[in-house]
Amino acid sequence: MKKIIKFILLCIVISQSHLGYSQKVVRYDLYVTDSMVNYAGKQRSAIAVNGMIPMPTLNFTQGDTAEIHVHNKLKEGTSLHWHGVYLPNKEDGVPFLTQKPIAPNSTFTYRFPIIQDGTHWYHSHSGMQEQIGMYGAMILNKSNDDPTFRKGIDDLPSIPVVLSEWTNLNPDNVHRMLHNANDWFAIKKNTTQSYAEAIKEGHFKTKLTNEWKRMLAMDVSDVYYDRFLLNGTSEQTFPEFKAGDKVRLRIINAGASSYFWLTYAGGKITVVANDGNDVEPVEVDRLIVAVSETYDVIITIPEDGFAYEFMATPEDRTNNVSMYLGSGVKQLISPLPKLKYFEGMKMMNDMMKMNGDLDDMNMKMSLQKMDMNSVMYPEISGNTKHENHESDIITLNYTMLKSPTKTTFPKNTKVREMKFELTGNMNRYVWSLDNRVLDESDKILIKQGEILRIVLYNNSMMRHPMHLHGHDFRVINGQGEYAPLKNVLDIMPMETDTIEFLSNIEGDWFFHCHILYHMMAGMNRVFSTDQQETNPYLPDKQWGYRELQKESNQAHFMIQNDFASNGNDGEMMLHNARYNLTTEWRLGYHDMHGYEVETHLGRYIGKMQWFMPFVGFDYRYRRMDKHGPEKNIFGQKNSKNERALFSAGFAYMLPMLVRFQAEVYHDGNVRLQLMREDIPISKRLRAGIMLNSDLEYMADIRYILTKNFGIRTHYDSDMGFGIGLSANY
Amino acid sequence: MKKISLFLGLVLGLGINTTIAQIQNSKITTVAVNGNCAMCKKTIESNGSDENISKVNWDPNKKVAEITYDSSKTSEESILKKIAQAGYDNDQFRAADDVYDNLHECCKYERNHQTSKGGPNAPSQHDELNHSAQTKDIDPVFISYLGLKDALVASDSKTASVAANKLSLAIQKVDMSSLAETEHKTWMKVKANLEKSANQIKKDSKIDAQRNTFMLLSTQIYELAKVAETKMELYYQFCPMANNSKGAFWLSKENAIKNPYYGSKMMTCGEVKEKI
Repeated sequence: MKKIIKFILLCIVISQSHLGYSQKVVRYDLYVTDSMVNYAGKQRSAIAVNGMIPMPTLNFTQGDTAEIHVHNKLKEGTSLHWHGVYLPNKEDGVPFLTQKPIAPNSTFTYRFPIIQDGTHWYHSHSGMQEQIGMYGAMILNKSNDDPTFRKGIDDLPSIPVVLSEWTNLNPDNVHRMLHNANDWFAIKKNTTQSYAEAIKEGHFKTKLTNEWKRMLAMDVSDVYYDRFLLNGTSEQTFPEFKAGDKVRLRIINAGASSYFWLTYAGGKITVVANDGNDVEPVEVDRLIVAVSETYDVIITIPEDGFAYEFMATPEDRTNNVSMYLGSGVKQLISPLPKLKYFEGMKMMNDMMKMNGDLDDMNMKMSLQKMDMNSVMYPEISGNTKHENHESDIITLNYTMLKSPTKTTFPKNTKVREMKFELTGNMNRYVWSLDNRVLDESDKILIKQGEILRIVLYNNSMMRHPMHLHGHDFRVINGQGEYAPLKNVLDIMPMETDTIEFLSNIEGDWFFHCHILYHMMAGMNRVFSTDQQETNPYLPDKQWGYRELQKESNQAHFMIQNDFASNGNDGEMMLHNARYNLTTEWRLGYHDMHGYEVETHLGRYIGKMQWFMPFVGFDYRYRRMDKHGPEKNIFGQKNSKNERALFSAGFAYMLPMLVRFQAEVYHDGNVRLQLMREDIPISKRLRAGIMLNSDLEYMADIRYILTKNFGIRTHYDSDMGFGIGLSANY
Repeated sequence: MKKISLFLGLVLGLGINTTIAQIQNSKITTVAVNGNCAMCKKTIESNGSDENISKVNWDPNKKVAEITYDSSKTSEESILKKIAQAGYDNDQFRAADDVYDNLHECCKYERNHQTSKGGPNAPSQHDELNHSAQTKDIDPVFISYLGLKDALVASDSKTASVAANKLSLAIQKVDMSSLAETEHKTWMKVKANLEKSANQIKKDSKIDAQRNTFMLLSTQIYELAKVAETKMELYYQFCPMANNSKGAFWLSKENAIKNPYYGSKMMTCGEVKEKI
C-alpha cells in the first residue's frame, strides 16, 4: 500500500516539475520591408521591420526557445545577427560564414534556446543595412527562480534606450567617400582644421608638424550624421516617474560608428550591467558607450516638479538626444562643449613617430583609464575663459567593472596565447589587424576546450570596439577572479588589453571591429573550431569564406573633372586595400594645347602605404609647329608632340604630403615629379602644385561649393591659365 | 541702357534675396525667459536665433522673449531648450546648475528653486574624513599634505601656498615624544627636509616651481607614510611623464588618479604603485 502511494506521489511530482521553468517557444514574425523616411529634411530610403525603426524589441526569458521567422520583402538579401547571444553557430546570422544571405521574397527561421539573461540587441549583418534601420533591442529576462536575481536592481521598471544615427547619404556612398578621403564630412562638421583656422587659433606650427608627419586632419568620428536618434526619435518623455523612483535604463549603442557620452541631470548614474552581464553596482557621473556595447544603468528621480534630462551625446558633439524622466519643468544637464581639435592634433603630433607608429611615452595605457582625448574636452581641460573645476567628474572605465560571481575557467585547461595589433591608415582608410585585412588572412583554427588568451595592442589613431561572436570573454582588469565578462572591448590608441575566452562551442566565429565602415574595410578575422559538423545553411564553407573576404575588400571608384576654359583636367581612380588604378587626363581644346592621358596601375607596400610601385602607359599628342621637341633636365629629348609609351616606376609620400613619383619610359626617358594636392588653405579652399623634370608645372586653387561641385582656377605650363567648374564623384 | 538694366536687375535680385531670407511659415510666441542685464540679452538672442529659422527678441525689463520661428523647421520647445542650455531658465526648461554658475556675475538672475543635493558632482555623503578619530599625531601632516596636493591638482598656486603654510604649521605641531619608535626615527630624518620644502612652496608664486619642490616633498611624506601608524588609507601614485619624463610620485587618499604635476592638462596620467 505505502509503496503504491509513494509511486503515485512520485508520478504527480514529476509531471508537475516542469512548471518550475518556462520551456515555451516564443515566436516572432519579422517582416523586413523597404521604407521611405524623413529624419533630416529629405525623403530617403530606409529599411523597416514590421513598419518600425528601430526594429521591434524582442523579449525572452531565460529558458525559452526563441523562434524568429524573418520574412524578407526586400529586393536584396538580408540577415539578422543576435549580438552577444550564445547560440549554435548556424543561427549566428553572418552571411557567407554561418548561412547564405536570406534571399529576397523568402523566409528564414532562426531557432535557438535562450541560455543567458541580460540586455542584448540584434541587427542585420548584410552590407550597410545596419545603418539604415535594421537594429533593435533584444531583452533576455532572468527566470523567476534565478539565483542571481538582485533585489532593487532586477525588479525595477526598465526602459530600453536604443541609440543610433541617421545620414541622408546612401551609406554605400559614405563608405566610398571615406575611402576616397573626401573631406566633405569635415566641412559639414567644421573640422577641416585648415591652415587659416590654425593660424586663427595660434596653432600654425601644430598644423605644419601634423602635415610634416604625413597626417590628414583628425577627428574622433569619421562620418557626418544629419541626426542622432534615441529609440528612433530625438527625444522621449516619461512623466510617470516621481521623486525617489529608481529606473533602470537598458542602453544599447546601435550606432554604426558613433560612441555616445551619457550624462544625467538628476545626479549620479549607477552602472549595474555591461554587455548583458551583471556587474557590481558602481556609481559614476558619466560614461561613454562604444559602438555595439550595452550598459544597464540605474538613475533616481530626485524631486517632483521636474523632468530630468538623460542625455546621449555623440563623441564628436555635433548634436545630442535626450529623454526626460519625471514631469514638470525640464531640468537640463550641461551640454558637452565642442572639441578643441587643434589641441587633439598637437597631442597626436606628440604621439606619432615619423614612420607611422605610435609612441606611448611609457605610459602603458589600458582599459580606458587614461583618456588622451581629454585634452580636447573643454569640460575637463578648461577653456580660455574660466578654469573649470570639473576635474572631479568620475568617468567610468573598464577597471571599475567587477563581476558579482567568479568568472574563472576550470583549472588545468590549456591556454593558448595570441597577439593582435590593431592597425590602420586614415589616409587610405584601410583598417586591419597585424596590417592584414580579412582578404589577406586565413581562418584562425582553434580547439574546442582550450582557453584563448588574446593580447590586443592598438597601434592606430582611432579607438575600436572589438567584438567577438558567440562568446563572452573575461577582461583582465585587476579584478582577479571576478574579471567582468564582455563581448565588445573598446580599445583606445596605444592601449594594450588582455582578454580571454573558453572555446566551448563549435563553429566559425567572427571577430571584428564593430565600426561598420572599418568592418567593411577589412578589420576582421574568423575563429574556426576544429572538426565542425557540416552546416546545413552553408555547405560550401570555402566558397563562403571567399565571398566574405571579397565583401570587405571592395574596389572604390572616384572621378573628378575640371571643365575649365583652357581644357579638361581630371582623373579617375579605382582602388581597394592594396591596388590602385588611376587614369589622369589633360585635354586641351585644340591641338596646340595638346591632349594627354596617363594611366598607372600600382600596388601599395607597407603599413602606412607610402610606397607604391607601378606600371603605366602615357599617351600624348600636341602640334608643336613652333617649338621642336623639348629637353628635360636630364638632357633627354622629349617626344612631346606624339607619344605612346609604357612606363614603370614608383610613388612615395614625402613629409608635407608631397607625392614624389619616379618613372622610366620604354624609350629610356626618365621623369621625376613632385605633387601636392588639396592643401587645406581654409575651410573650403584647397590649393595644389605640381612640378616635374620635363619642366612642366601646375598650380591650382579650388573652392568647394557642394559635395560634388567646386570652382577651380589653375595655371598649367602647357595649357596656360584657366578657370572652370570642378565636378567630382 | 544695358548697364542700367543690369544694375536694376542686380538691385532687384538683392531685394528678392533679402525677402527670401525672411522666416517662412512663421509663428510668433511670447515666453517668459529669466535673465538680468544687456549681456544676457545678447546671449539669449544669439542662442535662440538661427538664420532663416528663428529670431528671438528679449525684453530685459519684462523678462519676456518674443520668438518668431519657422514652424516647419523648428519648434518653440527646441528654441527654448537652446536658450536654457546657455544658462537661462524659462517656463519649459531649467538650466543646468554648472552652466548657470559659469554665467557672468551680472547675468546671475535670481533662481526660484535650489536643486536638492542629489545633483551631479554633489559631494558623496561619506566623503568627510572622520575627524573624530584623530588619535595619531602625524595625521595632521598627511591631511595638510593632501590639501596641498589637491591645490596643485587644481593648478591653483595661491591655494597651494596657503596649504603649504598649513603643512609647515602642522609639522611644527608634531610632538616627537608621542611617536612610536620607528615613526620617531623616520620623523627625525625627514622633518628638516619637510619643513624646508613646505616653506619653499609657501613662498613660490609660480606653480611650476611649487610642483618641482612638491616632488621632493612627496618622497619624504612617502617614507613617513610607510612607517606611520595611521588609519588613513593612502595610495602612492606615479606619473612617468612628470619631471621631464623621469617620472614623479605623490600620495593621494583616493584610488582615482588626479595628477598634481599636470593638473587638468593631463589629469589621468599615472597609476597606483602601492597602497599604504
